Formats: sequence, structure tokens, C-alpha cells
Amino acid sequence: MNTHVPHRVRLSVAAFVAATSAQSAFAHEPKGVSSVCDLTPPTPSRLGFAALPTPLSPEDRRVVKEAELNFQKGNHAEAKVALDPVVAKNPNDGELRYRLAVASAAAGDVRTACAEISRLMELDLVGFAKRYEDDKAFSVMRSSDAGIRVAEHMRAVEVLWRQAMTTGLPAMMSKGARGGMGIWKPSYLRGGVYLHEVQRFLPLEPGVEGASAALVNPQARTVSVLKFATSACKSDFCPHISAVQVLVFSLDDFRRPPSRWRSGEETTTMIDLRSGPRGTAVRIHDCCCWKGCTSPWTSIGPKRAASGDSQSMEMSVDFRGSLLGIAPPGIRIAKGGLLSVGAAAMPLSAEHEPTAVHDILVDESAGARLVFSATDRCECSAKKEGPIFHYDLSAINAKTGTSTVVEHNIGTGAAMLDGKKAVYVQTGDTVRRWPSIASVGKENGMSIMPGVVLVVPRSPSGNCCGL
Amino acid sequence: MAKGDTGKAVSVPKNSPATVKVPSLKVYVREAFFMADQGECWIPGSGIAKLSFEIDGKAVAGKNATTNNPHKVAVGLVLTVTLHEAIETKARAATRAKSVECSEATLSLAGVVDGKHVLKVIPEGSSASSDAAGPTTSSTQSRLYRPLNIEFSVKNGLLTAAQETDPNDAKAVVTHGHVTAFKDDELCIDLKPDWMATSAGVHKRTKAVDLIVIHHTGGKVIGPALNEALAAKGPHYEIDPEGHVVKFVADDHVASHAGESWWDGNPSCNSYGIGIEIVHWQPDPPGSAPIPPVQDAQYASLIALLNKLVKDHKLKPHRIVGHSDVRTSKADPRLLGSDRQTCPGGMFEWTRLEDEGLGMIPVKDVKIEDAWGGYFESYKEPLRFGDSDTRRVYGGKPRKDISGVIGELQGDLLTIGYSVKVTGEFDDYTRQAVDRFKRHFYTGTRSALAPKSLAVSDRIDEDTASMILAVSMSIP
Repeated sequence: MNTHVPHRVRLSVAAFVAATSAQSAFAHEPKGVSSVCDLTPPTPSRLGFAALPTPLSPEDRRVVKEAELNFQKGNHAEAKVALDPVVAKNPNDGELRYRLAVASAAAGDVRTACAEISRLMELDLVGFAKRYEDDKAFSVMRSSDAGIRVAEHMRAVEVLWRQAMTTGLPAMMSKGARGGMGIWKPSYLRGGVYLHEVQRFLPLEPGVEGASAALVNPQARTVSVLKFATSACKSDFCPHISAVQVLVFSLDDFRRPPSRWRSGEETTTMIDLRSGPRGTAVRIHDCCCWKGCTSPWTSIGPKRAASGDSQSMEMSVDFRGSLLGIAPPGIRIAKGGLLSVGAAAMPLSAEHEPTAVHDILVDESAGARLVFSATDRCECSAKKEGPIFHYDLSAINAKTGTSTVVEHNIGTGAAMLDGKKAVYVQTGDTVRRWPSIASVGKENGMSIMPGVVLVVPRSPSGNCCGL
Repeated sequence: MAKGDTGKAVSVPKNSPATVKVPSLKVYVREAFFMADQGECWIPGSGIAKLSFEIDGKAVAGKNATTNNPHKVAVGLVLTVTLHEAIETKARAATRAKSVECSEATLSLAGVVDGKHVLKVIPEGSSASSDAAGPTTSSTQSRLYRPLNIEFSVKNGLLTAAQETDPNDAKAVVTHGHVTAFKDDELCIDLKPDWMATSAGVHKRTKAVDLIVIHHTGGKVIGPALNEALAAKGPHYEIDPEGHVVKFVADDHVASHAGESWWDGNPSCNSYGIGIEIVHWQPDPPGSAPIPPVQDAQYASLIALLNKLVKDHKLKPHRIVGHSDVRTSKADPRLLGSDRQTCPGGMFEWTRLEDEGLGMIPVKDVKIEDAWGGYFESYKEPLRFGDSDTRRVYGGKPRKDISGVIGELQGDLLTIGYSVKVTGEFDDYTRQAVDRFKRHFYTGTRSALAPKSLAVSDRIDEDTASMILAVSMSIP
């Protein structure tokens, strides 16, 4: 799991859980300890994260470590008592909740174990459901009344989870820092949907250690997670990306292991991920072994997505961040305009450069369209030597065929619709929301939950006319 | 029985001379860079169109004796691929892609008797130039190669030896092409181009050439650097581990190699500089693994090329610098950036160039005691980051008897060409320039003189101070 629990502590979780498993929780329920499992039906407002999980404080880490030692000594109740307040202080830390549930189960506190597991399913169903179902530590509980209640709760959560997937905003919850040479160093990343009405982020994939980007496409029923290593290397042609991995998670069955793709190349500069009606595909930009420094597209997982008319999404990820292109079926940008099947071209401002990455947002019922273009290229000419780095947002009236530039600025970002046709525009680190395409340019957008982004925003390419 | 030109079996009359036993030779030629220990190091290689052949100075007839189209060969279908694959598989990781594209010609060997002969492979437009590199101006062709001479032996109708040779010097090592395999009546040949045209990041120069910037590729093989130069950006020249020079951009065009940079008062070294990449890499982190040095053949080619460029562009020999000397940072185009501070690498021996009169050559017998306010006449503590003329703090301590030391240091660094500002404060600009100076001048035969503070960019001891002064005084 990709949490802020330090590696040293996370390693010890295995021993913690293994110890519990060996002792088979609930094998003998102590007398006088409650075994009641009263669960409140799940609601959208309790789903997912209300905020980015924060790292444990040094004091909390100390307490967790102490609890682990107590647990290993068989002092389960003491471990549980120690973990309780730490969980209360870190409500978005799923790993901690799981450990509290394990300690509670071992201590025979069914009420707490049941409550924590149930709460955990609301928080992060996809991250913990299979783990709970497979964990020997809960084998007795799962077949008990409490376990049956938990299973019912999980099913109820899953119903909401599937509903949220269709109404929310495909997004990432991301945290990281920019290092030397503009290298983005992710410390937390989950792919999921943002639910604006309840201001929560719901993960759709279980979390991948070291993930750098996620391409969430509920229409295609997949979340693709990308991870890689970056070496500054400080030679020409650097930084280099290596150990590229793509994991494609199916939204039809979140318990199914992801389809995986790995690249053995060591001098990659960029990775393109594509998700659409034909499934998921990846290609790398690596001058090592490919003509034009670009590999062919390689399919990952099922060749066809669940929905034949899903939008096409393409994410280009490098060591600085990512760009995201979105095109609904039958619509594209070409020859300076917006082209739709069976309709006249709608001209766009020249600021929407042909080399830009475009997000085309369409609300057919409102006759409105929006085009966000992010330009990140390098110009090495007699006139200019350096990065060209800007975004442009234009609103298009589909009835009149006219377009209006709403925003033009330095930087990059992306734009996307949620399932209810609300518009989200990310510029830099900030994501703003408008209730509809028509309201963009007329109202000020509202900032959404910090940490929720459409892309990891890129910094401009430095020294782009150099090696 | 032997095969004739048509491929049909022909009978060999009794008592006929041995010449009819091998009436044909299949020759497979491709553009490739092959290294014995690395395998093919450029993917994709490809067949070379429009070749002609001579044997012992006479044009050879035969099927496809002049090839017009590269012959695409699928993996494992024909012997040529088997031959290439055999050597590649031995040398390369099996996961890597392989080039299987060759031009194929069947040469008539009628009249070729047992013994030694010379096959000359002549790509279209090639010349037997002895220039250090490819064409001085833009060529309209996408590729230019030199002819390759191959000495081969025939015995009883079979090839018994085949080796590339220099017709002018039998002892010379040929680097622009190789026989990669031969067997019976088949011969595989790789040619390396002198010229590979690219338009990536290239435009016509508006300023005269006034600087040469030396880089290293950061890789063991030339492949990635070739592809980058052809697809995105690159230098004017690259020198492979055998010393073969490939040219991509005409000298009168700007190439994209230096990036944000500053030298001797002028920003953007691309606009007035020529870039040369040496295929070599720097351990990361330094000292992590032993690596081979920059090869003698690479120095020889580099020196020949530099001499040619200095002559062609009437350059002063001291106008030869490393990428690390000039590269500034994205955030501040006057501050030397750390992202290329190892280019062309700590193993690049600048003294090899100095021995040939190229590059910045420190003058001898410099007395630092007479300079920099006489600081080192009175004190031994190294100057350091934070020292200040304004506060008269030197070596980290107040020295009220001395002044103007840092200003003089900065003046000398500026004279050499480094991007510093003369402020009298030992600031970031000064620190970075001192770091680059040490990386440049304490290499090669001078590495033994490296001060203890070599790894510490914010210290200048007396030896380093003397060296800075000596280099500064060498600048005309």
C-alpha cells in the first residue's frame, strides 16, 4: 500500500499480521467482551478520503512501534489500546485502521474489529477488501455473525462505489515534491474519483508503491497506474527513466490482479498511456532502441474496453509530470479547429497549437463545448531558444460554431468533466470547478479538495535546446 | 558442382583452374555500429542502398551487384540473418531488438583465382576522404559513407579470410566499417556513416563559430545518442568508442547541444559553438564502478577533428571548453547549473588536448603570492564560500590587513570565461565556477596534483589559486 507509514514500520506490519494469523483470532472469544457488530449503513458522505493521508508524527510512529512489540509479546489488548488514539488522530490512514482491527480481533474485541474493518471498507474498499477476505487473521470472524454483517456492509459499500464511479470526477490524489532538475518525486498517489457533493476522494485502485501517475477511465472500466524510477544522472541525455511498469486494474472486478507491463529499457524519457474503446496501450520514448526514439504501442490487458463508445484518454508522463489528452468519440482537433463527424469544423484560436495536448469537453444537451490545450514543447530556432509552455482554454458555442478564449497563461494543466457534466480545470496545482460548461468564463471556478488533481503538473523543460 | 550467377548448378570441367569453384559471392551490407563486447549498438540499423563493388580494382558484375533497395529480411529466414544473429545473440541481451535489414548483392567471382584479393565496397557519393569528419557544409544526401576495402582470401572456392583494411596503411585500424561475419560464399559487412543528416533542433547560424563545446554521451554505446541526434536534438559530431566520427549538422548551422549556457560574456553557446559528443559515461555516483577510460582512438580522432575545426573556423585554440564549463541553470541563466557538472566527465583528460596545443593551457611558474591581495603570501587557510571583500573576511576569518581578494579571484574566473559576477563576495556564482574549474583542470596528468579540496567546491587552497591564475594569464 502506498501510505505514509514509513517503510520500517510497514515491514513490521507483516510480522504483526502473521502473528495474529498464527493465533487465529476469534478462535476463542473471551467472556465479557462484546461481540456485537452494529453497523450504520454506508452513505456517500462516508466514502473515501476527506483529505490526503498525512505522515505519522514521530510520536505516533513510536506508539505504533511499541504497540507492535506488545502485540508480538501477546499483549493484544495493550496493542489495541495503544493504537486506538493514533487511528483517531490519523483517520485517513487505512493501514493503521487495519492493524487496529487485527489487534482488536486478537484481543477478542469484536465490536472494534468489526467497526474498523467496516469503516475501512468505506474509506478504501479497493485497497482492503481482498486483503481482509484473504487474511487468516479474520478467518473465524468472517464466518461469524459479525463477519456476515461485515460482508453485507461491504456489498452495500460496493454498490455506492460503483455509483460513485459513474458520477465522480476521474482524478488522482497525489502528493510529492519537486527535486533538482525539476524531477517530480511522488510520495503518495492513488487513482480514483472525486465526489464534489460530499468533498471526498474515492480510490478505484488499491495503491501501488512508488506510483507516478494514474490514468482513470471509468468509461473504459480501467485504472492504469504507472510507476518508474528516475535517475538525474547528470550526463547528457539525462534524466533517465527506468524500470517502467504499467498496472491496469479492472473496475469490473477490483479483486482481480492487474494486467502488468514492464519495460527493460533504461534510458526512457517519456511514457505515453492510452485508454479508450480499444483498451489500454503504452509506448515509451527511448532513444536506445527505437527509430525516432519512440516504441510502437503495446496493448495491456483486455483488448477492448467494456464500453465501445468510451472517450479516448492519453497521458504523457515524464520525470517532470504529465499531460492529459481527452477526446470524446468522433471529435478531434485538427487543422486549427474542432472537427466532429458530420458537422462543420469549428475554428479555434491559434493559441491552441497543433502540437498541444487537447482536452475536449462536450455537453451535447447544452450545445456547449470546451477545449483546454496544454503546450509543452521546445523551440530551438534563430528567433527563440527555449521552452514553449502555456495553456489555453476556449469555450465553443456548438450552435453558432464560434469560440472564445477564456484563459491563456503560462503553465500546464488539464480539464475534465465529471459524470454530472460539471467542469474541472486544473492549472498548475489548483483544480477549479464550474457546475457546467456554460458557466465557464462567466463565473469564477471553485477550488476543490487539495491534493486532488487531474495531472501532476509539469514544470517547464529547462535547457531544452541542450543535451 | 558449383553454383553459377543464376543460382543453377553448373558442372566443373576436369583440370579446370580453381577459379570456377566459387563463381559467386553473396555480400550483405548494412548501416550499423557494432561493438565486439556490446553487440549491435544502434537500433535500427538498415540496409544501404546504391552500393557498387570492385574486386582488385575492377567493377564486379552480378545479380544486384549494384544494390538499389535495402533488402528487408525477416528474422531467421536467410543465412545472412543467421550470421548476423549469431554474433548478435552472443554479444547482446536477448531482449533487445535486432537489426535484420541488409542490402544484398551476389557478386560474380569469375576470374578470381585462389589467393588474396581486395573487395572495395563503394556507397554512392562516397569518397576516399582522409578528412577528420564528414562534409564541411550541408549535404543534400541523408547519408554519406566512405568506401570500405576488404582483403579476402579464396581457397578451393571458399572464403578463408576477410578483413577490412586501409589501402594506404596496412597497420592502420579501420573504424568506418567492419566485416562482421563470413562463411563459405557469404560475407557480412557493416558500414558506419560519416554523415547522418538531421534537422532536429537545427537552424542556420547567424553568428560565426567561436567556440567548441565537448560533451560526453553518458552511455557506453553510440546508439541512443545517434537516435536522439536524428530524432530530437544533438551535437554536430559524435565520436564512437572506436574513434569513428559521425557528423550530423553542418558547421554553419546551429545544433542543440549546450542548452542554457554562458561563456566569456556571451549567453547561448549553441549560437556560436560547435558541439562534439564523445561516447563515454561517468560513473553515477562517482567511484561506484570501474569503467574503461576514454579510448586512445577517441582522443586521436578528437584531436584531428579539433585541429580541423580550429583551422576551418580560424579559432583560437583556447576556445575549446567542456559542457560543464558553460552550462547554466534553468532558474538563473548566469548561474552555472549542476545538472551537467560532470560533462564531459572526470575521466576526460584535458591534458591530452593541451599536449597538442588545444584548449586552455595554464602558463607556468605563476606566483600567487603576488596576486589576490597577497592573501596566500600571508595565510594558508583556503578561501571559502562566504568570504567577503566588503567585510574583509577571508578563509572564514576577519583579515583587516588585506582587501580585494575575492574580487580578483572573480576577475580571473571571468577572464577565463566562467559565468561569475564580480561582487567581491564568494557567492554561489563563484562557488559553481570554482567547482567547474577544478573538474576541468585537475584531470589527466594533472589529476595527481588535485588539491584535497577537489571535491569541495567552496574551498580554494593555494594550489588551486595558482592554477586559476595560471589559466587566467593564458587567455590572450
